[in-house]
Amino acid sequence: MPNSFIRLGINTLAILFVWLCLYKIFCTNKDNKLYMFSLTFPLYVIYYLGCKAVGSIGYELFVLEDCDEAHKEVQAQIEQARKDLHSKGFDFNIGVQHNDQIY
Amino acid sequence: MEASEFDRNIHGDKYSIILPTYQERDNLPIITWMILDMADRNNLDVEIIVVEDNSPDGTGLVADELQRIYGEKRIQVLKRAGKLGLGSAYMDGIKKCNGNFVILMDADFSHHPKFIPQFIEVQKRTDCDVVTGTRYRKGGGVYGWDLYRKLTSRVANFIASFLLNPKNASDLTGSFRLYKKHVLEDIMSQVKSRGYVFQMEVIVRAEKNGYSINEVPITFVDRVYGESKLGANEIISYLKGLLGLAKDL
Repeated sequence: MPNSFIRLGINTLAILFVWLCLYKIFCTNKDNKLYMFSLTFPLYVIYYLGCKAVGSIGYELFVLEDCDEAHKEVQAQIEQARKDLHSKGFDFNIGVQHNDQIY
Repeated sequence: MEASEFDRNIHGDKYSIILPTYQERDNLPIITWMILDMADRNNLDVEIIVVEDNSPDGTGLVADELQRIYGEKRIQVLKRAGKLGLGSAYMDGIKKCNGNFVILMDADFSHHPKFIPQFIEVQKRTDCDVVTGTRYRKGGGVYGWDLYRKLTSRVANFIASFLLNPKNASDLTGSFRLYKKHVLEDIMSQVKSRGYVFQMEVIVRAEKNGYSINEVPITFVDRVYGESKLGANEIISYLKGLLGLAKDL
């Protein structure tokens, strides 16, 4: 049995259990302060999880760094590599197909 | 760490770098040069194994030419009949490795070889089984990603983390990693998925198998040459693959 599915299943059961308890305790009469909350408890759970997800993704997006120096470094090294390979006698055009055909 | 300790390769460690290539005739010479230049400057025993899938643009000939210049001891060229996939490229490449460590990375300089000495330093210090590069920790980063690309990457990682629950891997889809050779061989025999999910499956299986993993922040420069591909089809196949992997673990 897949691990993450077991986790999901247990969490779902836990939420359902809490919901049942809340329902039994607070949904006896409509005037109770926690009536609506208890009735729609799973929605609050989904809302909470959604906020956590958005928060997590938003935070990670915020801290994800841009690295312009890395790009410049790579560009400079490409030039360096080209020069050095050229001096070693590397043929950059090996295997290039030439499309000049005579019709 | 003392300079002499790091410079002398007392243990005789050899690092095999597997580069799967397809249509990389422009990038391959440069990345090869960068890797071997890094190896010389850090006194590392390195070999590159190019796994060439019969690219129409002549990448195979470029690889041969590089081998002519740098020698067969440093560059091996494994030619395959066609585009047979990344996973099988790694599996075929591993068979040719003479090193006791294997490094997997991209051939289009989105991964910079300058991080390899850092990977090695961490590995030597902790004797861990896998060192994985992460773009998402402090010291790491990306270049060339607009907000949309960053968003899709973070959401993809979030969903993957939620379903697969990794212990301390912050970059599941990253593909710049160092492995002990026997560890990689062991994991590869268990890996079944393809595409983006493949990299995730490798790292997650490593954790589930009890191998020790350490992370090193890396910078990821997106596609200097060539096009990026990220459409609706990729997203759907990613999710399907991810669910398949989650079921399988």
